[in-house]
Amino acid sequence: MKKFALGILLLCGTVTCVLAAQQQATVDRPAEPNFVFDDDGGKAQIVPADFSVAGPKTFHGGPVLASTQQVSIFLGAGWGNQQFRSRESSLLDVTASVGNAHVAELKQHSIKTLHAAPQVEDFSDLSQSKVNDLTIQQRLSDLLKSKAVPAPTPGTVFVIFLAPGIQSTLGGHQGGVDYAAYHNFVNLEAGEIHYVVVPFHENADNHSAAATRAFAEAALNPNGQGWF
Amino acid sequence: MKQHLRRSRLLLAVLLLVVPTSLFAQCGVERWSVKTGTDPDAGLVNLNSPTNTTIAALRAPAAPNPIPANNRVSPWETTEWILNATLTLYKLESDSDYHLVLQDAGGLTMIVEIPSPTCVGAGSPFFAGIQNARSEFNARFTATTSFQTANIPVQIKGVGMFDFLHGQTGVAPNGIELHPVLDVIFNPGTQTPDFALTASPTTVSVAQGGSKTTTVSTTVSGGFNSAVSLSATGLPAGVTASFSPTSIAAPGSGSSTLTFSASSTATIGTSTVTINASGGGISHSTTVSLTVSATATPDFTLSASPASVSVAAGGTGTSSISTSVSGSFNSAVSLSASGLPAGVTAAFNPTSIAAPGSGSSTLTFSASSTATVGTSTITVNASGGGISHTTTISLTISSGGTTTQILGNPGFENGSTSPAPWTVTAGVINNSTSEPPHAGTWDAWLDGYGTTHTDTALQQVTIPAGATAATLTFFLHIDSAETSTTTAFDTLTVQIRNSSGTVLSTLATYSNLNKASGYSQKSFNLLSFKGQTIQIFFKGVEDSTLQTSFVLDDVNLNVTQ
Repeated sequence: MKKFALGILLLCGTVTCVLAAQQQATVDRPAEPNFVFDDDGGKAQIVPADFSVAGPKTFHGGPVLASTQQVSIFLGAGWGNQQFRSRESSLLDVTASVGNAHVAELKQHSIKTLHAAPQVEDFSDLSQSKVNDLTIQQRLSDLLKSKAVPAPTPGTVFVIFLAPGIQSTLGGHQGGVDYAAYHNFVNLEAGEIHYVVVPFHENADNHSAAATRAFAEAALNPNGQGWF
Repeated sequence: MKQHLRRSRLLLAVLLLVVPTSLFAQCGVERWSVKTGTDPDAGLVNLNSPTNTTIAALRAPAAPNPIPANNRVSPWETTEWILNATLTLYKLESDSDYHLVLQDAGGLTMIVEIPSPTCVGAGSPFFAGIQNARSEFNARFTATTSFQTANIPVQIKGVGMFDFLHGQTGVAPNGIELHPVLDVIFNPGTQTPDFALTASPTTVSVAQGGSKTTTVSTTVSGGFNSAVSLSATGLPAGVTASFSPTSIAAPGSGSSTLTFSASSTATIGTSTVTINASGGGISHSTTVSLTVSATATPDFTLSASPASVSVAAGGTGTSSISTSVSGSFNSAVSLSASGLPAGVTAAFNPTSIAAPGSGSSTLTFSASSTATVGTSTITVNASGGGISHTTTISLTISSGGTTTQILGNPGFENGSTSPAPWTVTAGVINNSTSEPPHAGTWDAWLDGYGTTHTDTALQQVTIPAGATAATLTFFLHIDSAETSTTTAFDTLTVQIRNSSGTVLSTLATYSNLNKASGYSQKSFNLLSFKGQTIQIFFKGVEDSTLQTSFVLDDVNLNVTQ
């Protein structure tokens, strides 16, 4: 991104070219397809809202998870509504989706999928706030410190399902508009924490599909240098 | 099988009351204490002797493995570095940091970051420097959420910090940054020597007889190199100010703790205290708003609930006595009762409220069969820390009679094979240790499956027409995997129905919101149903997920006639 902008400045000497460079800067996305800048200067991989794919995956030399275990966190007061709460059971273990291509991809890469751990419900009312990635990281830190969620193993992927009414943001991008889900990682006292954030989707199938794809991508590309 | 299901469906849950802030008023999480100087090693950073370095030198060491979450790696993270380079790109991040990309003449890059002062915790030795650097940057550029190009020579002063590699723009291969930046000089070599003065907090409240502190900090710029002396003026009567240390040593960057000490007769009110700093022929001042408040008087309050108790001769009645302290009260509070009619005794459990003096005690009135009938005013006395308070309870003793417990199998001790005269749904009568009884061996365990389910227990009984008292009591224990503090997902309803099953009265509804360890006794007056055949009916309803167990034991209907 930076090299591209500087390249434009070097090649152009006119006001027009400077403006073009600035316009390019406002796009503010990394060069890799389906990646965006996150909230503290890094990059995070998203599942685009239209579920588009970036082509065949290639390996970039970084780590890949050897096994995965889903720990679901249902975040927000909306999950207390029976209409939505009944959906939780269908989201608890996304790797149980028989026939799902993303789950099959994990098996192709010999990534074991352990049974999901019990879910956690956090009915804090967040409907009036934007929930960005820093909020998610802080919430994970609090949950781990209070031992409300199990200590992570190397394969643990926390999957945070946001309740209806919560507006998710990631580095200026919006859940539901720019992405259907994303995965990221953060280093806390408990170690390196991998997590998936899934904004609520009215369509239950799309909701589950977004979670499943982001979960698989978290396993295949946990630190941004694996398969993508 | 049922117990297995119950155990397997117990799900971990939590409710945290953390409220997120808006998008760009938020602070970071990862190594945040190190990034802002609130980590336990922050005091190890030498701010009095900055070291010149280069981007190449900072990129040279291998990144530590692991990178400690809340500690520093010496010397890289305990040194204040001075770096001359070109500022190429800058951006405002969602964690409120300014993300600056520096580049040297050879094209090597690294990141330096200026946190928002609002994200720096109290006590950080970097606060004044961060505030200074932020102001210096804002005076020159307006950072937005997109990268902008600067291409300007800068001299950066800041503390080293190894960040985790997340694909950051401009990041050094070993992740090292200067984070936080404490000083920025644009086009270095053209600056006038000077220093800046700040205080944090700028509002201080102190009670008469007490003391409070604020931190006074200085940062230098433009080659300033002198000790800075400190003083305070504008103090209200009865208040003194002392600095520790009394001056900031050359080159003039550092901090001093300013302590305000108020005498017991210090003038109450708010004053503007001016802090003066002088050194190298330059003087600056800043202000602190100082409020002196009156000392709160130590005291406690006393209350009784209920304040009216009726007891039949030969029976007992209770009231809960509560105390609440204020000011600096810190003492045990002893309890006693006076004004008791003949034949009535009063007992407190516990007999006193432990220090600091807030708590409750159960006062039990026991009336003998010959107790004097009528209404008396009982005075409850509470004393502690040289202070006494009283409250009153209206105690009515009614004529006694013969009291009989008329329910069959009240403690469910007939076991699961013969629960009669109770009628219960399958699996309710329980003797497992998972939900132990209040007394005996058996209890009635309604729900606890974590799926949509309803359990009931009922017993039909006739209350004699000549009854003068009819009291239903039972012990109830509720445990639940639900975590909501506002929504009753699973409920237990206690009803009185007629012999046809028509609801005559709903006595109470309990839910997952009432979960608690141990049993508590519930009591209801059923005298209005005398002369009727009624059903005592318990109904537990559970929703689709997260179990709630309603455990009943020792259900008694005591009738006096």
